[in-house]
Amino acid sequence: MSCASLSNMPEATGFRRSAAEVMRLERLGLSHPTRLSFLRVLLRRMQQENWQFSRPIFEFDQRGVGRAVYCAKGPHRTYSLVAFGHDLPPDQRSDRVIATAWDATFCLFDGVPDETDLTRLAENVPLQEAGRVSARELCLSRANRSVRLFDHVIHALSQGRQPDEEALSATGYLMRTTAVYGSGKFGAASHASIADRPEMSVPFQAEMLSVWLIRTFTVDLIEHMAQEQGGSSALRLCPNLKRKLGVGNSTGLGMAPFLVRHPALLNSWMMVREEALARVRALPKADSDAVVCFKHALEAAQVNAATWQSEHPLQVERLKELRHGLIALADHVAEGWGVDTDHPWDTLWTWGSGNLPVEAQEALIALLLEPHGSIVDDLAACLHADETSGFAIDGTMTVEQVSDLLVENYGWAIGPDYASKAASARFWYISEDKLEPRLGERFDEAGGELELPLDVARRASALNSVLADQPPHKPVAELLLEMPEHRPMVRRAQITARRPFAEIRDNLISEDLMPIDMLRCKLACFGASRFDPRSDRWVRISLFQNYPYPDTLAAEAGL
Amino acid sequence: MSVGTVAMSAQVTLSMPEVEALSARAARGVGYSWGHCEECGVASAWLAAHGFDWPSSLLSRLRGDAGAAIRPAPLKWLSGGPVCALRCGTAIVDFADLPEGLGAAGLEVGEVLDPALLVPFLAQAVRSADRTYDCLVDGVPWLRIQPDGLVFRLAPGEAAKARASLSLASTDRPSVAPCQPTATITISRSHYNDLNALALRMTVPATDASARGAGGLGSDND
Repeated sequence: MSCASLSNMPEATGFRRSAAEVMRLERLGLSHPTRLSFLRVLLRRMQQENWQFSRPIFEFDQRGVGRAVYCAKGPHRTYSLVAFGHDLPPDQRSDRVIATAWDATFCLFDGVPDETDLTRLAENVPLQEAGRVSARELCLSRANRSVRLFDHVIHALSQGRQPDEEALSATGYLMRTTAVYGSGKFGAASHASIADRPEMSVPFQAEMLSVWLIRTFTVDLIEHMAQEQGGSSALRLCPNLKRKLGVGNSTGLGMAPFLVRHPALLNSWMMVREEALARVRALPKADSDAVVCFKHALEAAQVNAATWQSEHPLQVERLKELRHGLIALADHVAEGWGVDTDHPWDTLWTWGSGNLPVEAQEALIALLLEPHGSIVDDLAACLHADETSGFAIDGTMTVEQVSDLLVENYGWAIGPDYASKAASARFWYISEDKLEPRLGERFDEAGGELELPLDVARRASALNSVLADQPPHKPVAELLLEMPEHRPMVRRAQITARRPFAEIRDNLISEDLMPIDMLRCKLACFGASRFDPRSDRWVRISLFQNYPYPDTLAAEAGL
Repeated sequence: MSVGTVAMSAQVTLSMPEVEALSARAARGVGYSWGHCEECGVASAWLAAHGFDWPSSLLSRLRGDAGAAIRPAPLKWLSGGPVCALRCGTAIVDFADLPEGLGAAGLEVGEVLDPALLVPFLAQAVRSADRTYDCLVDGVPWLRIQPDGLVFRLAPGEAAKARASLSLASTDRPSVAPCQPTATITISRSHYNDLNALALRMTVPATDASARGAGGLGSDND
């Protein structure tokens, strides 16, 4: 990985965790958002660059049908969220990707749309996958109302009172997005075409900006509808309650293969977080302000863990571990942690990794980074990856060298018996109806012959067996000419050789796989909170909860 | 692949990620190995970006036969008949830094099926060789390819050939009028539908069980 920021603090090298420890799903699946998550990076940049926000169009009737435009103006360019509100019957309100109608639909426009643009977008954006957008659009998305909370808030505000705080906290959002498509989907601009813009070089910045502006739209819409119903007696949502609202998001399997298909990008995301942790651990002393900030962050994490709701048995258990772990951490910080000792943050981390459950250990990473923006925030510049540079296979590499790479980075994959049902119970495929990735049961469902190459562990094992029978000095170019089926694995092995965090080090077709672990890993990189699984492959989360709105961004401290 | 109202016109405008995904899936749909499908996707996006008629060449290739076995050798490859451009191109890049690869003396590739598909791979090999080459089709100079990735057309008509003999010769001549990369590409609805039909062959029909797995069949109201 080449990124100048990574070499800014060479003393951190000795404090880095190994990829073998970090890249297991049992740990990735417990990831927490940090100050280097994509939404935090976006908010910091917009604040530092003094972005200006406006709402030039807001035209809705009392049912919430209409359109709006929100503009975010940076130092060089303006981006506009174009929103369309619809009147959706309750029986059509589905979060699944196969839905065809939504309460609201959106796109992020590159610039400020004129009436011609808006007409074109009104014909296509409400159709979502069934429409087409253009290279002027960066994202396409949609959202459904949280019916219970939406109606409650309108009713309360229209009658001149604030909504029930407990009800508001329990749901945490007025609308949840059910897909946020970016990078070239349905005709939109590709990430590569905008990646040379500083504000878009960090991954998923367009998507995060869309969601943040959608959050503002949800509050504006509900206040408008309350006003339509209640007239002069209607209230606006009080700032304290408003802040507690995020944007919900429902995410299914479609997100999971991304982490496998983009190994260089995954490496960057994980490397940045691990380097940040290593830098904090490498500090010889703890600054008193940083200690105060850390304790505040720990208190906030405990409050967050207390209000974090889930009915999924696995997550209920994990939340229990998190809450107990954070109590133990708080006790240790108060009584056992030698804050004045040499390398106190490393001392605390070492204690945590030996005494806390994994869920709380991963939370501790976020807490340790929180007070240390001055030494870790520059790493955001390393979150991108040049995915083209690792694509070409080095055909001169010998069989022996590839074999060594497998031993070094894929030892975890070589042991299992992939002829067993347990090790190959699942298969990933593309569904015909929505062209979305799904997960099948190999021994119960048809379609296994159309499997996607996400069976990395099995492929590594198969390649290892083949290499054992080949002359050690044979160039891999010759091997691939004879056996092209091993091409994806040779490519991965070569990518991972230079990018140790590029590979999830678990069998993604085993009967034990929990796809939600892959989802949480990626969502934490986004900055998502309130991870709430609805099954082993479907999850709801919240984005931007407890963060500022456009009108309060400039005054926000501690971003 | 649903394309909606706007795409009911005679042309479809695609983003580069769509070109890449559609091409890779179409290749998989007719049985190319996953590794070659990945190469096909990247190569198609390169061709689209450089203004080549990639859907015609790709459809011809995906509907054609697999070609002869590829036999790399120094200076002149010894394949036993016309070879598949996708498989041959992949090998040219794999062997780029080996004795069988593109060297200062050039390379006779031999007969290639749908030779336009070979160009992205030649550009990659030229980059690796770090010198400028002329690509000749049946002995006629067709393209000049620079190590910085710029490609110059010397004879526009040669790209349409379904089968031709290709060779590369190094040159010191200056380059003119490069093909300008572009961010989106418009293709005919007919080509789009044909590629989609091939891509659908690698998908699995939905069942109630798979839909449940993707999120459940009940109400999502909350």
